[in-house]
Amino acid sequence: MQIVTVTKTATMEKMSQYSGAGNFHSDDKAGEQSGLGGAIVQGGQLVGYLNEMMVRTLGVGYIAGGAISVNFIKAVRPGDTVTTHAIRKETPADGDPARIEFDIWLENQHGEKCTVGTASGHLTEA
Amino acid sequence: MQSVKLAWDDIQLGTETGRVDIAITDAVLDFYLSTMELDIAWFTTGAAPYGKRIAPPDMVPKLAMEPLFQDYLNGNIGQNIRAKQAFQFIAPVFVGTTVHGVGHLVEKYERRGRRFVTVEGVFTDDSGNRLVLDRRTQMLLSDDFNMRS
Repeated sequence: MQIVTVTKTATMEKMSQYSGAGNFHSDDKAGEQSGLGGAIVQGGQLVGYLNEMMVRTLGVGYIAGGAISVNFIKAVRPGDTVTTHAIRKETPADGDPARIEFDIWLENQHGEKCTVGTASGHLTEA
Repeated sequence: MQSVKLAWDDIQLGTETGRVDIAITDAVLDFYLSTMELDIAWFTTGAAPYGKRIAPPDMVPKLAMEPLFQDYLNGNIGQNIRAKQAFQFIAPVFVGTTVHGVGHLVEKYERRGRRFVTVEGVFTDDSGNRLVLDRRTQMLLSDDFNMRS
């Protein structure tokens, strides 16, 4: 099993495509008015990047049987490039020897962690 | 910023926040793959072992979040932003199926001068089999709930 990381650039175009137009996930003015200092990438979009890493890493063992839990600790802004990361834990998830767990996180281009948490799934032939 | 309809003490745990039925079509899937820049064969062509296109695991929760959670939260509690997210992916979601979702408000708490609510969504197929579980915690942005202001 090889951990397959994912790198994406959060463009305003993709943010608008994901979250729709005219809200604080796709419009700087709306983000300012909401006290967020401008537009920020929707958390679901960031979790999607982490899920892509887990699908590429665990395959069907994540699609059917995967779990993920994350906290959003730093905003991702339009133009930021984010990369997913994972480190396999030594102990199995939920005490199930067939289930493996990872510490996961997403970093921006400055090496700052923006989203952190854990993910788990079954080790299968991807 | 918009005012809210519910006071903090009036937010009731167990409230149903919404229901939704989502048809999983090739067009819906293609749009999501484009948005997320995803080109994994299970999603694009239906590679083995499925033999039929399936949705990325987070697609259904994304499509459902407005009617399931956000319409209720924005209308009753005001603007909010995600602080935590958890999913359990139980079974694949196939193109050509319809997924049914129901959401509930399950938790509210205060931390470091901020107020949060947690909502849960359960997604099932036509037979009632669970497909995806979605649990998300939203930080409330309204000044009415910001204990720092």
